[in-house]
Amino acid sequence: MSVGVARVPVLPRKVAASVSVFAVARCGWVIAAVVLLVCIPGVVVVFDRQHYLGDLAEPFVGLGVMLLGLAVAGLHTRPVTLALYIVVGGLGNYLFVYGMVAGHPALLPAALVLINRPETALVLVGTSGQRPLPAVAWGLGGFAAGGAATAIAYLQLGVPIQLGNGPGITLANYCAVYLCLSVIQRSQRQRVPDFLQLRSATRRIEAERTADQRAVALLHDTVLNDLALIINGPDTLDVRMTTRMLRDVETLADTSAVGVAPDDFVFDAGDAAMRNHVMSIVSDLQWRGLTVEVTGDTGAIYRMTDDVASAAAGALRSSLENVLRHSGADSAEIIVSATDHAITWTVNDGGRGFDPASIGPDRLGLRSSVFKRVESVGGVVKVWSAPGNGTSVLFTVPLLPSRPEEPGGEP
Amino acid sequence: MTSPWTLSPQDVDPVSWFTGPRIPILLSLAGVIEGLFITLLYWDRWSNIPLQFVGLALFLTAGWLTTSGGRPHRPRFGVARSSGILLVGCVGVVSSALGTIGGTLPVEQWWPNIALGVIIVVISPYCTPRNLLISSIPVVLFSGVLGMLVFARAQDFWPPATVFLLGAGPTTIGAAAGIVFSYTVVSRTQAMLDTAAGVEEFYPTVEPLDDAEQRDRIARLSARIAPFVERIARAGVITDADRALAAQIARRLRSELVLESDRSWLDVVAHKSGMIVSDPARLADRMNESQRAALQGLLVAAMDSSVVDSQTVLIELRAQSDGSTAVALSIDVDLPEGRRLVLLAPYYLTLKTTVEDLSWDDGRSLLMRFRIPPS
Repeated sequence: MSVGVARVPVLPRKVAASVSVFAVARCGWVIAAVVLLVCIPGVVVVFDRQHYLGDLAEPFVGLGVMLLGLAVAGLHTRPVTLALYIVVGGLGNYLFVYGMVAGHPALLPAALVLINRPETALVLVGTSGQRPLPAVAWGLGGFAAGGAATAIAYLQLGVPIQLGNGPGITLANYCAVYLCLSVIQRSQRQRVPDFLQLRSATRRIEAERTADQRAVALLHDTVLNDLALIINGPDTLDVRMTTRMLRDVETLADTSAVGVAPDDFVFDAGDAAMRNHVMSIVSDLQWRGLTVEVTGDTGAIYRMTDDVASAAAGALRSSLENVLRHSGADSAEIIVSATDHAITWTVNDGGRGFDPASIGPDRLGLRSSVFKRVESVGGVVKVWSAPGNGTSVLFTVPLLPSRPEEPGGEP
Repeated sequence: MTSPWTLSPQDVDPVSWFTGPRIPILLSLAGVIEGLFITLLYWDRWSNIPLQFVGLALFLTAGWLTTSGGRPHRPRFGVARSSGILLVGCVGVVSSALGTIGGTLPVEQWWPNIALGVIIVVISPYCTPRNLLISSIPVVLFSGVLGMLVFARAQDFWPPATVFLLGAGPTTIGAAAGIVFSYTVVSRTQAMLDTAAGVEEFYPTVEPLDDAEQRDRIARLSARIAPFVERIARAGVITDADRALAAQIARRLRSELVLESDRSWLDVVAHKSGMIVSDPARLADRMNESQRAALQGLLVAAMDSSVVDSQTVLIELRAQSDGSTAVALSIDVDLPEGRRLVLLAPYYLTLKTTVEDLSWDDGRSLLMRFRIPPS
């Protein structure tokens, strides 16, 4: 499985909560804009009926100022722009109320629903943050600024203050929405699973499983071979045999062979280690009677992760072990080829071959030692064989991207 | 990326707070309480009070229909359902209008259009912005025209155009708010999901297995063998008894290794929890990481609950002719439907985002079925 930053199907709750808060705040700004814009034809129609059309300038300037402040707050949402909206909006509301009431006694109280509309828009300040509760404070600030501006206008004009219910009802609804949002988010944080934690648990299981399967491959390559030697070998072991058995026991004690640390990378130094590892395998098999010829692209430098290098070396050794033990051939050929993204080893022998379809599911050889190893690091394996026609095992593993040229280095 | 106009907030973030089970009915109730307050405040200015209560009941019904239709295991909210809910709201407005004509209520205090605006907002998490726009336009026009019909003749201060605006204002605001909410949630969520930039900081890192764990794994499988091999290597001589024991160990080890090698990730979960997995073709490993995480979350949530016996959890995977994998999950949950939903809905919804055709069948056992498309 791939590891790293990838698309997640569900946002973390914290992120989703910030989306909700922003969406609700934006709704508030749109409602405020609609309210202010609808005021324009409303004022025109009412002033026309009352023959006040010549007095439109002051209310319109007030509405314009508020719309400007709202646009700045909505498009560049910062605490300072929200504060600016409250201040500038309060000023605009003052101009609007003053312009509507001054010299127009016929408008009160019938047009109160129109006169206090901008004040309701000033309540819908929203928030610049990701949490809902600060929006309540901003709303209270807007409500206070709007109420104060309206009261000052009435006082200046010597008219009894008439605030109406609209701003209060708007504030109550506005606060209820954000408080509700806060309560729901709190309860959701406790109830809704964090997908990334679930994914982390899944990765842990996968890491454990991969380690298990590598342990299987390791045991297959070491003690199962040793047991086969004990069952079928000579009564007295020679030095090469005892050395190999002791080395296998030592390998089992060295648990780094099955380590799963996907972020550990080896670079050029690892390539040399890989090359040495391959030559060591070839040399070992040659000592045991198999002539191995390595051809193809053997001189280039390949960069791969530690996991990939370990899987490739293990698969190569297993392929050659199979040639030695099962093919009846005394020679094998390894062909190395590579692209920018992957390296391929092909192990050919001219031995007795086999029918791949006849290999039972309980046979571990190719399956765990080659297929599982290679596939566990994102590689692919192909086997061509037929009775009497030899066998070709091809496995491809991914390479790391080429390292960028260092500044000032050789081209 | 799919256009934000064609997806609903529920589509892009089904576990979002707005899909909480009681939110739509609570918001509708708030609108109804406001209507009830105005009805009582202007008690003697309506022409027919009972019709106001009929209207209030219809708005509450619209909220209940939204709550019911928006429940996590219900099918996707379509145009028909959203239009039907708005229609119930419109009937509520008509009922109130019939009880208002001939009365002396000020137009600005007429509550049904406010309640209708609330209903538009309430359905917005389940509707695509495009559907909301299409279905809102007739509702806005309807509320404005009806307002004119009810109030235009009785008003001497407000000209007809203003009466239209006063009538259509709340629904216009509701529609604008709903569309903006729906569009904003969809577009921002999509952007964050697609780029992963917004969630990168929340990615936990997986600790590699430590040496002790790795040693345990090797030791578990090779405990008896390594000393045996070492003894023979050091002795340099193989006896018949050694050969017999080696053959016996090799047989047992081979069978253990085959078993270990065949375990899918689901077998690992089952091994830890006791649930039953029927996956003869080892299809569980076809699931991608997100599908595994979501399914594992659901299984763990179910089995961690005191009302679920983990031994009764059965999951079956079968290959389909089209290359997909059919999965059936059966859980004996000793809870009524509503509480089952409360327990499992967040996990069910998370799973829904990663698989296809997920269904929820209630019965004595809760049965979920879904499909994993070919990779």
